[in-house]
Amino acid sequence: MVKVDNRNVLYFLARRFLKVNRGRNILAIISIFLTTLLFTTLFTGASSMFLTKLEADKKLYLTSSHATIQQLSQTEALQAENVLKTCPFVERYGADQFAGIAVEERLHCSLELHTGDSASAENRLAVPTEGSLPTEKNELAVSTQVLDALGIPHVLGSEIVLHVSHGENAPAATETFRLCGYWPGDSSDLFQWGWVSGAYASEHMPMTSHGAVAGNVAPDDITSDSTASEGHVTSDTVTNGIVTDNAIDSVFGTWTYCVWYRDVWHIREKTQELNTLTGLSGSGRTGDGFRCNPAFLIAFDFQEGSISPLSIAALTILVLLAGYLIIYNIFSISVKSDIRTYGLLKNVGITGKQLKKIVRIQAFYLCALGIPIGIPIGNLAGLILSPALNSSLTDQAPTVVFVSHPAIYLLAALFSLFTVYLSTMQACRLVQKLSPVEALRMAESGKSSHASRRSFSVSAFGMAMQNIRRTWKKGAIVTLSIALSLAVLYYVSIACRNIRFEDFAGIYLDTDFQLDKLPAEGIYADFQSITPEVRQALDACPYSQCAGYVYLSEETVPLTDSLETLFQNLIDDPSANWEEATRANWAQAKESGLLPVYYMGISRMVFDALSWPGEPCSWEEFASGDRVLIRRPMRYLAENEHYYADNDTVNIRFQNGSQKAYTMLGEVSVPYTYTYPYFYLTGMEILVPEKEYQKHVDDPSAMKAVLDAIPGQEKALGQYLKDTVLAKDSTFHVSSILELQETYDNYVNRYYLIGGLLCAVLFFIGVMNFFNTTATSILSRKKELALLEAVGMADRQIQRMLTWEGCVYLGGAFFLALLFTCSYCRSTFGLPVYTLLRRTALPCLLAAAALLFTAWAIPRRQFQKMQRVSLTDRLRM
Amino acid sequence: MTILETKDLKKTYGKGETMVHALDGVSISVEKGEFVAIVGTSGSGKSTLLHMIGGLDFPTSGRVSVDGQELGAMSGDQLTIFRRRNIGFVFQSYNLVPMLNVQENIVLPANLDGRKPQKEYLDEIVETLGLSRLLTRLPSALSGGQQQRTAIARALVSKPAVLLADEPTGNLDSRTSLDVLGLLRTSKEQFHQTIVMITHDEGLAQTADRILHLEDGRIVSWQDKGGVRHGKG
Repeated sequence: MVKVDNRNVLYFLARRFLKVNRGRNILAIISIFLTTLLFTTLFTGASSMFLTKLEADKKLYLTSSHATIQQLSQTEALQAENVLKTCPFVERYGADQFAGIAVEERLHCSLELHTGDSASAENRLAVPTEGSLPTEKNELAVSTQVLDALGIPHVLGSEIVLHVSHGENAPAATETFRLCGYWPGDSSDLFQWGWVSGAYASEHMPMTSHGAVAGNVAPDDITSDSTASEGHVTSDTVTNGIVTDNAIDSVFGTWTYCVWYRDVWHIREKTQELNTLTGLSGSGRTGDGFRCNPAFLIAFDFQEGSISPLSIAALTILVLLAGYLIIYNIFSISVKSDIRTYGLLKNVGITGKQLKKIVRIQAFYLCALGIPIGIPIGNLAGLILSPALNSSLTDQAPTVVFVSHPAIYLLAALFSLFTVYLSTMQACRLVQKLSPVEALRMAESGKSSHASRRSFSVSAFGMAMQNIRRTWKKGAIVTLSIALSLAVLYYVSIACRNIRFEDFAGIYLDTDFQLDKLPAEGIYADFQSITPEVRQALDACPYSQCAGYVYLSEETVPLTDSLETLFQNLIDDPSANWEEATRANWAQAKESGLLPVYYMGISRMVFDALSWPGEPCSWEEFASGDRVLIRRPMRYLAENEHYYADNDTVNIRFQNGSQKAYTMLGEVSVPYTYTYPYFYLTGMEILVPEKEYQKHVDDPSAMKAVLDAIPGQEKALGQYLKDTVLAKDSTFHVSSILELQETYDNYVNRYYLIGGLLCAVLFFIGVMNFFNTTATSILSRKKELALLEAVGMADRQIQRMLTWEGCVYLGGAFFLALLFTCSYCRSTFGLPVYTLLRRTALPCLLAAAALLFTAWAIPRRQFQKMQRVSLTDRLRM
Repeated sequence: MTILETKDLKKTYGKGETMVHALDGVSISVEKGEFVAIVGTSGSGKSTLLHMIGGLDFPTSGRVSVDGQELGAMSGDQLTIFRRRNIGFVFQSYNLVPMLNVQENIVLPANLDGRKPQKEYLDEIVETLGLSRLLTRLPSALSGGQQQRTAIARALVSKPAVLLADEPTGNLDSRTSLDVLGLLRTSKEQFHQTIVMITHDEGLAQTADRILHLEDGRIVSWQDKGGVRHGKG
């Protein structure tokens, strides 16, 4: 056989099919448009959620690079530099040197002075948006937060006077700088960076015998080239004693390196590789070398509130299914009604494959219209929804990242094309397998060879059921299509009401208000932020009914044999992969024979919130000061494992050299709000009354304050905190029940919004499907209905019959969705049937009303349209 | 020269007691340029025979060869392509593609084969069949006779080896029927077209060069141009 190129004819025929199927085309284009819209909205929203979370976490962890290593000596910096320069998977890197710290009461936070390149400024999220990084010795770039706190206008060239310390025990010197750049600061940042010039660092970081301070040597100046020009330090001179590798006693003069990899995949492995290549796996601030930015780990491990791939996959499948059901039905019905023409074409000489291609071409022509409309509108919808999608319970008003990227458009287009491809498979198969003889018969008789021989009742309902039996496949698709939207509606209604404010408040905020300076990264935490002055102000608050405090100090207890066995088992657990730092802490504890513990003083209000596994003890008993409670961790310990048995002696050794033997009162569960909020394994939280704490710990400041407002005075209390505490120190992190309520409302509304929109679009798709099926069903029975009219069936009876058909389809969808959702939610949420039905009562009522109207209105409209042709004409057809 | 030949062609439907022999060992041969009519009553197997000859259906046994090519050896798609190149069909219900106008319907088989029909030849067919002024009309705007003329034009345009006409006048009045038969005859004369026509009307069959009588799936007799009837042929 000679292969011929007849593509043009196929395209021509496909265009003709499109021309004669205008009604179908409109429905198909709307369906493809809606499917694309849903895909684009989904991908835009998901990308926005992912990137917003990533950016918020970068801010939280105060780093934006993929990995960093801090506190490197000069020699270690050289090691890092040499590897990073040539490392194939490193895209770029930056370095900065710690050059001093500004001691300013007015700042309420640390202002670290560094000298570094633009990459390191980017890493620390401190790139000047006005001006530039310093080049002159007396230049300084800081955030607007610092400028505001110091009362300096946002004008380049302004004079800044700071008291700067350049060593651990060095006295602060008054220095005058000129503002060369600034960027918008954030009041919630507990740490602020200031950029000084390399010349400044060189002057103030003289070389010491410990090697940590080598300010006059920038890593960029270190070359391995022995012929380096004067003024540069060679690696030889470095190793010849200018700087040494001794342990770092001070952070002053140390280097921080930040690295961006060529791509974001396998960050952990690349970081590990970097540690191997540089030989710095035991170096750095935490002693474990380069560390991955937790923001990327959280983002790519899809932890902590980030949208999970599973959720995206589920929603993608839902959209695909919704699109499939309607596009399938449209094409299936269309091909069946055109089957005679396809048969004729086969007789004329078009092969099955070519007929299939004609159907595909039609589908792609329709895609060419539907997809380009769906993408921009879907993207716009995604952008509008982004702020609502990014509201969360844990993050306070994150900066929303709006995403409009060609990759999203491409992905949405591909998914839409795939949906259309899947949807038209059945129609393609139908025309491909069409027998020419069967097509001839259809052409001659004008009807299908299948005839129903079932008897049926001559009533509107009986006749409706008879027709449903004839077209049960189409009906099943319509039912499924509508059921999909109803299932979403029921599910959203059940799931949203399953999120109770009280439950969330219990997790995130046990009281009406809490104050602390405990950011996400423990290294930036201030455990003594509630000073006696702050406490005095809080105790004097007229709107608070009670206030409580949690004090925290790191002390030690002797490492007894039983404790050593217990912790050694934890460390040796083969299923756990503890970080090097955790193992190092344990090794140190074993070596010293002292286990670090968190010695925590609590007030009465906190004591009252404790949960007791056994018989609770009274405050009076606890307040005696000779007995301690130990927090039982939620994980790690088996049921029969305990740090101490009741009435054991707990001998605490305090930092000031004193010690006291307490009696173990028991183990308690502590609400999360009152715990030490960072990870530790080899240690424990020991609770004593606050007065007892103050007797043994020199610093009288507390870690956290909690307040309960007099009912109705929540707003006044919030304002009081602003006026008395935050006005003096804006770096306090205040969590309030009001904010949590608002965040909770936003959070729940987010689900109502997403669910509502999804449900509305799916319902619209379902109704279109119903409309299409009903229209085709009525048109294909034109003659049959005319016959019924001719033999005396009244219009009203025919309409009732058609309405019954609609009711059966839609009623089926109603109950199918209810059954599915209730079964699913019962197994997922463990709710009793009564609760499920109660929660779905309102949506059920709304859905029933909408469905009844649809079942009545659409068949009626189609019937009236059909009646425009006279009875005799219809009989002649 | 034999252009069409069937050998012991059999087609059965159903199984066991319900088995029906639609064709029961039909062997015929048609010479190039010959106009053959196959006559039989309803259910005699005429249409089945035409479907086998035209490659629309497969025989249960036996052979069909057209222009020297054995149809039984071809796959479904090969058969379709063979059909559009070698067979022209004229059906009782015209079977025009409703969304294409007269001109488009006529040139469709040629276009599907990646060719454009010769303009002179096309004009000649259109002129001969009286379709010149109807070329832009859709089938729905044509009378039965006009539709059938279009179907004949479509069948001729590819210069097929054989033109198969299945009751071509079945839906037409007697005057139009005679016109259509005249046109088929003209096609035979003017374009040297081999034609196999199926009809149940003995009178209409007289237009043909040879008439084969089919009964119960067998050729029972044949009649030559002179009207002489022979036994099994």
